[in-house]
Amino acid sequence: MTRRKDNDPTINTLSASDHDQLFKLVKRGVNRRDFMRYMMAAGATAAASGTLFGGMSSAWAATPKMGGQLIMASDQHGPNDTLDPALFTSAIDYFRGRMFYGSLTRLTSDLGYEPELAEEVISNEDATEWVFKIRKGVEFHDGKTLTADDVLYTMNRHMGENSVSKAASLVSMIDKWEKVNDYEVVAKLSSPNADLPIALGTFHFKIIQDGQTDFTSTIGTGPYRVKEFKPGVRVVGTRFDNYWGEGGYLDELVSYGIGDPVARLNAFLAGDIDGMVNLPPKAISQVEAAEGKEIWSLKSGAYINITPRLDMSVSNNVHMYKAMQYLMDRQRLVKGVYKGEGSLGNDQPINSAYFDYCADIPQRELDPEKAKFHFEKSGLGSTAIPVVAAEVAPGAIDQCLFMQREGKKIGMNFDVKTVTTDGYWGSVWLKEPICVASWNMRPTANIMMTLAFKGDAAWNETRWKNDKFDQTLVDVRGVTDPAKRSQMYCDLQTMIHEENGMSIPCHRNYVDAVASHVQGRTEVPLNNFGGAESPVTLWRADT
Amino acid sequence: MNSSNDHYVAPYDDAVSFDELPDSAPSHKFRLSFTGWLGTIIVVFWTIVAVSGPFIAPFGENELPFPDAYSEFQAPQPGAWLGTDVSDRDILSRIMYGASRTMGISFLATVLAYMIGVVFGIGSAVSSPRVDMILSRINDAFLSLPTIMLGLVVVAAVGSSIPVLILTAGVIYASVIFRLSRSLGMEIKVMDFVEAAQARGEGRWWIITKEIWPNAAMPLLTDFGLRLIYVILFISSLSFLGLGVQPPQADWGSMVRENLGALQYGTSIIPVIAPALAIATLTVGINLIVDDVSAHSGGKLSNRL
Amino acid sequence: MFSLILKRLGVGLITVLAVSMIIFAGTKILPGDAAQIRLGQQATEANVAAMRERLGLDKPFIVQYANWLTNFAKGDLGVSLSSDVPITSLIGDRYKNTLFVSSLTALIGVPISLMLGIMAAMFPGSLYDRILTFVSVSLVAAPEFFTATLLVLLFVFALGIGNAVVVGSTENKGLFELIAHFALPITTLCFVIASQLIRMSRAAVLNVMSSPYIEMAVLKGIPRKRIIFRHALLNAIGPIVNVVALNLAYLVTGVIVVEVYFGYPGLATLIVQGVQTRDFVLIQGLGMIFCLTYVVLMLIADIAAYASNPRLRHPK
Repeated sequence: MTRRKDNDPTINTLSASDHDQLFKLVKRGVNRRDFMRYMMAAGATAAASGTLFGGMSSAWAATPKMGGQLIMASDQHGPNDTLDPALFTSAIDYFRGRMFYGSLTRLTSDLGYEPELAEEVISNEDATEWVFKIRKGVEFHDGKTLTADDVLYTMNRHMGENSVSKAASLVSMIDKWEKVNDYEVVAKLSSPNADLPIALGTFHFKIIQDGQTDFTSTIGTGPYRVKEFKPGVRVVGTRFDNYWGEGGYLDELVSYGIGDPVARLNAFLAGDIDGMVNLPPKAISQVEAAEGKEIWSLKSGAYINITPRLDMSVSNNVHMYKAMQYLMDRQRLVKGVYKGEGSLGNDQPINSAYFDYCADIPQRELDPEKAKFHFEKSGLGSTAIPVVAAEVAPGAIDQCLFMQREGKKIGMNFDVKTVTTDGYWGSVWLKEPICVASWNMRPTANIMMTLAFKGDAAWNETRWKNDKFDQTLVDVRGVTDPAKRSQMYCDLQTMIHEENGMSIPCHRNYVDAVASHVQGRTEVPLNNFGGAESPVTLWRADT
Repeated sequence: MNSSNDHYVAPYDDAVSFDELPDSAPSHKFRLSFTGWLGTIIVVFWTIVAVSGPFIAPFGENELPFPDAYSEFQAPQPGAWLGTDVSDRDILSRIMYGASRTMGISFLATVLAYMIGVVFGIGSAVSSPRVDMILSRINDAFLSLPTIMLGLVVVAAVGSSIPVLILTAGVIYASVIFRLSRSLGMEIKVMDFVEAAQARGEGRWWIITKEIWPNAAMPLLTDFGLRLIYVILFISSLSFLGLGVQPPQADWGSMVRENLGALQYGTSIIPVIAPALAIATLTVGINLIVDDVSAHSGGKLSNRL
Repeated sequence: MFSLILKRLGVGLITVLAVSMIIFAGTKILPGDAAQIRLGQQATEANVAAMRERLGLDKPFIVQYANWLTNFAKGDLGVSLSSDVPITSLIGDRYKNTLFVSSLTALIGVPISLMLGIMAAMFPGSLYDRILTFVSVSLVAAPEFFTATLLVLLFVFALGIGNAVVVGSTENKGLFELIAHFALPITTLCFVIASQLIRMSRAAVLNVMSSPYIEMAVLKGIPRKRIIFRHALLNAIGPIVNVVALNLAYLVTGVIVVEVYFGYPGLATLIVQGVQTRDFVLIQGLGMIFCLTYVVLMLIADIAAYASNPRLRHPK
């Protein structure tokens, strides 16, 4: 499939702007069927369209070039930026982690996994014991070779009651890690977990060197080594020449943070930075029209939500949160705020981006009649209902303002208070009776629900506790019969939709903007910049 | 905006004499010039809008003129005479609501700053040197901290609401007024006509109310206008950092802020220009009056030259 | 004169002490426990107690204050709560950025504004004076972020000059490269300080012009220009230096909006992040640095005022 563009007659008959437009479609990840439909609507034959699609796809997936520098900008950053993988909290942390470290497994765009620092991953029959065979000849930036000791040291930091790890709950079913020999470790589990290798491919389980306690700089096995790390300022990585795998094409990769969306967009359009996360959806058409700029949009299960705490006053009123769910202006959020770069939410966290999505639950819509019914039953009258919001993701404040507006029409009085983003997770979230949140997608429905909906989860936002839900969630991990599994996941999602009390009005796509010379896109829908997996594969086309 | 920028009063009062200080007890007769009248008309106009705005605005501040459309930054059209903002709301209505909030908050905060500052400032000027020293040093400490930083810390800690904004701005700006009114009080205290009153054996209270206050009032009044502008900008800066007036409530500063994207990707730039112009016209209007008044209250020779 | 400077020094020192008390007490009143913040959400109570002991938070308030102040005097600002990094290393680079931007703004903005202001004072009431007054009044009225946006649209997008956001390393760059790098924030700040400097320098010169001895000079028939440059200006130096010093203090401590807007790391953004992450140690350290900057600048302004004013040099 090494078709050259100029050999293709179809491409030659296109005008330059048509060509650009189509090329952009391909790059944004449009599939063959949609592409052909688009072309045929414009009068092209099916055969010509198919050829064109092939040509464009291969032109896009060209061979990486070495060299050059790229500056990629995230949004939230600050003095709490860290190089300690166990403490990662934000998208810029995850991106940085990918620059400097490797992990046992790597996630793929279909949310499966492939081996990385582990050459081979083997489990016993009931998934209670997992053996990881470590790749030989992997070098740390200081020349030391990766061995089982490094893996054990890394993994044990996520274990035990006093672990500082932000992702300890994902590996809490592991009893212990054992070293078999220098290139083999085994994890022994207390309950089955078929998804363990996927969990270990997520952001926090990056492998560090045995004994590391100081994270002012770091030594990893990743494609870039630390040249400069200044929290809240800038991170610069230079190519690590002895990187064991494919990747690390740039001379220098810079990760930068610009909190203000307008400033970020200005910097991007002016060419000061090569890529930016979270393009304001309203600017999409402007970026699309701009010369040499492109959009990386990735459909995902990420969502924004409003969470009432069921163990605190006002928010524990069943009819109040039911009324809230019927007041969500979901259409306006998806069409008006996201400009279509998102999908309707149904007050439960799993959408069609997940394998285990349940399509049978009826969609909840904006329904003032039903909202009024519940509002009257709640007996709240004109009591002010406090809602704390911060722009933790596009639309996070808007969802509250829309709810407030609809509420006013039926006499429901929401008192929306906005606060700043950065201190939000520490000082407001999980503390206030009603507040907003934003969630990234997780690789599986089970991981998502375990993290945020299980009765004893640290991040159980509403404090909802349902024994049947918790039991099903654990049991389903061992179920292999597809029909039974799908039924169980439907039950789980229905329970959240009916009882949890959380409003999830919409799911959002990850929308990033990059200059055309930025190549090497990854499409893991778990975060910005292709699931923060792109640092390995990024390259620059115009060097 | 300007945090310590606006403390333009001399930190050590004997190093500078205040430029609007009268040569003698002022005559209270003066006529406004053309620019003075223009300023008055502008300020009166906005005052009327501020008072009546919420009652005559075509829409509520969080209401949609076109509930079925999903399009922000619309150009002016029937139904939305200044177009729509970033969240599809009516700009004209929000400007009208914003007038009462912006002018109300900054007016109240400035009045509060003056009440605190003048009482302590003039009080300090006429008290014993020791009390004066202590009060002045405490005031110096507050002056030496950047206003925006103080505001940030307080508002972030307590949470933003309109009373909190008024109190914070009022207290922060009181230290400037303290310095100003104290130095005025000091200078006037040693002036001939006050010393004459002292020689006549008048009491301290009499001197404050009958001699110092009337002479200090005019310079203080001219400063009031400027201070009002700084408070408006201070509140806008807090809004810029997400700690000012809470959405969906409209105030001019946060309107400029939330619609800033219109300059970059909007179909109309009115969403940014309209509130910015509102701030500009109001402040220019206040300034025109201030200039006129201060020109009549002192420094006449400069005009004669 | 030296005794007067000594007296001012003493006053400055008292101010710094008063500020240190306000800052320390203020950050203690803020909600949130430093040990809890340092350890994060999942910390156990025993861990928090141990951390409190390590940080000395279990000691009486006065002891904590004394320890903090002596450490500060030794140059030890403590360790950031949110990142476990010494405050001094967080400040390092940012201080360079802030100093560079503010000194360049001062070098460009101050002389130009003073010239414009003094020229306005030379021809009060003229068309030039009125236009300048109007422009400076309008500049006072424009929020910083609005000025910044207009400048970005004009220079970066319409003319293709400069950077919309200051990115990349500032190390190993020539002076001119650095200036180009920071051109827009510096221009924005020049506009901000210009409005006030123009107004104040004009007022200060006019004020001196209305004093009796200048009146005498006018009556004697000495030309205006000579009066202003020989006599009035020298006497207006005191107040002008004062305003300049205040503006310099603002440039070091108060440029939050400009730093956030242009996305370059400076001291003011650091304090915003400190407030947002409830990093009390960071707030305390920066607060003291800001206060010291202010006090030192004021001291210099005072000395300049004394040096230029014979009446103050030889008090009756």
